[in-house]
Amino acid sequence: MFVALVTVSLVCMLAVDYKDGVREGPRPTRVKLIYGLLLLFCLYHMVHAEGWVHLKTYYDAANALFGPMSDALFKWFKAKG
Amino acid sequence: MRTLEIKITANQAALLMFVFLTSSSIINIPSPMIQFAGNAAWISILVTAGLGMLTILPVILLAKRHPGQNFIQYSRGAVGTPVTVVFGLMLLFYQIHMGAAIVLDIALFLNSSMMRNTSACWFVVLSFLVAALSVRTGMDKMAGLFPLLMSTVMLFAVLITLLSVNNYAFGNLLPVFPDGLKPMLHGMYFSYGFPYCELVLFSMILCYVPNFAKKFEFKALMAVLVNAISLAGTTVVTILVFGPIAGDRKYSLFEVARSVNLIDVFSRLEALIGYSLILASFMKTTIVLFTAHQTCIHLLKLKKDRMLIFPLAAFMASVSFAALTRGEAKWTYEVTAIHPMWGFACAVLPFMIVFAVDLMRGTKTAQTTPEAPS
Repeated sequence: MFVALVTVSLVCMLAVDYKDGVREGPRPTRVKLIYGLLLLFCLYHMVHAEGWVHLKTYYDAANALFGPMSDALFKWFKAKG
Repeated sequence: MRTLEIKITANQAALLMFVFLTSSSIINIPSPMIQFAGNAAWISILVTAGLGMLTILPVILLAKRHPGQNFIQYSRGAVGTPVTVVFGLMLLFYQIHMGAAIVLDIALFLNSSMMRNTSACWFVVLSFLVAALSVRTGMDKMAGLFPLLMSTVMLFAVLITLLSVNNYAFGNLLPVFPDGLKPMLHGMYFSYGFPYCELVLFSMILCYVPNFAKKFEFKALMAVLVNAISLAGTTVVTILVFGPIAGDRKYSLFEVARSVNLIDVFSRLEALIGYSLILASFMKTTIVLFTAHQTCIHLLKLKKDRMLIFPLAAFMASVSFAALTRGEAKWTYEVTAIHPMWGFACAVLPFMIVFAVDLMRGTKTAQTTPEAPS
C-alpha cells in the first residue's frame, strides 16, 4: 500500500510539474538541479521508511547536531536543587 | 510563467500570525507543558509569550526597514551572499522539519485516537497534497481563508472548555511551585521552541504587506497575547479536569472533550476537537510550506516560481515517513528536546545576527550620510 501510494503521488506530481514546465517555459538549470536533488532526498527517505536501507536520515542529522546540547540542558532541568 | 501574485493587508498578516501561533499548539501544547512544568505550565506560557513578543518585534522592524524584501533578500545586503546562503540553508533545514513534524503529529493523533486501522501514510500524503495545492493558490487566498477556519477552531475549543465546567476541580491548580523554578524554566524552554521562536518564519511573509498600518506592532503583539491567553487557558482547563495525571494525557483537549457529559445531550464531543486538530495542522503546514518554498526560491535568486512546491512537499512527506519508522518515543524526544534548540540555532540566532548587523549598518549609514558633503 505504502509503495503504491507513494508511487502514484510522485508520478502525479511529476506529471503536473511537467505540464507546467511545458506551458510556462523551461526553468533555469539550478531549478532543475534542486528539483532533482529534492526528489533524490525524497526517494532516499522513502526507501528508508520502507526498511530497504538502514542509513542515516534527516532526524539523525538533527540529533547529532542538537542532541548533546539539548541533553545537557534537560539534565540541568531535571537536577534537583 | 504563472506567478504567485501575493499581496496581503496588515490586518490579515496579524491574523495570520495568530493562526500560525495558535493552530496546532492549542491542542498539542498542554500535555507536554504540564509534564515539564506541572501546575506552573500556564505561567511558563505567559512568560514565554513575552519572549515571543521580543522575537516578533525585530521581524516587523526589519520588514519595515526593507519594504517588499524578505529575510533572504535583506540578509544578502546585510551580511553578504555566502553567509546568507548558509543562514538560508539553516532556515530551510528547520522549515522542512517543521512541515514534516506538524503532519506527522496529525497522523499519530489520528492513528492513536480516531482511525486506528488506517495506515499513517494516507494522512501524511493527503495532508501534504492539500497543503501544496493551497500554497500554489497563493498567500492572499490563504490569508483570506485561514482566519475564517481558525474562528471555528477557537469556537470549538471555547465550547469544549465551557461544557466541561462540571469536571473542574479548582484544588488541582495547587501547589504551583512544589519543586522550585526549574520545572517552570523547562516549560519555558519547550514553549519558546513551540510556538514562539517559530515566529521568525514571518520574516518570509511580511514582505507581502505593501502598507503596514500605523499600529501594526500593536496588532502583532495582540496576536501573541491572545494566543498566550488561549494556550494558558487550555492548559489551566486540562489541569482543572485531570489534576495530577494531566501531563500523562496526550492530546489533552481531545481528552477533555471526551470527558464532557452535560445532561446526557452534550457528550462524546471529541470529534469537534479532532476536526480542529486536523484543520489547525493543515493551516500551519501550509504556512510553513509556503515559507520553505519562499526560502528555497530566493536562495536560487528566483522571485516567482511554483515549480519547487511539490518536490518540497514530497520531501517533507518522506521525512515524516522516515520519522514514523523510528518509533513514538524517539519522536516525542525529538519534538520536546531537539525542536526548541533546532529553532533557536537555525531560525532565531541567524535572524538576530542579521538584525544586529542591519541595525549597525543602518546607524553607520545615518551617521556618515551627513558628513558626506563635507
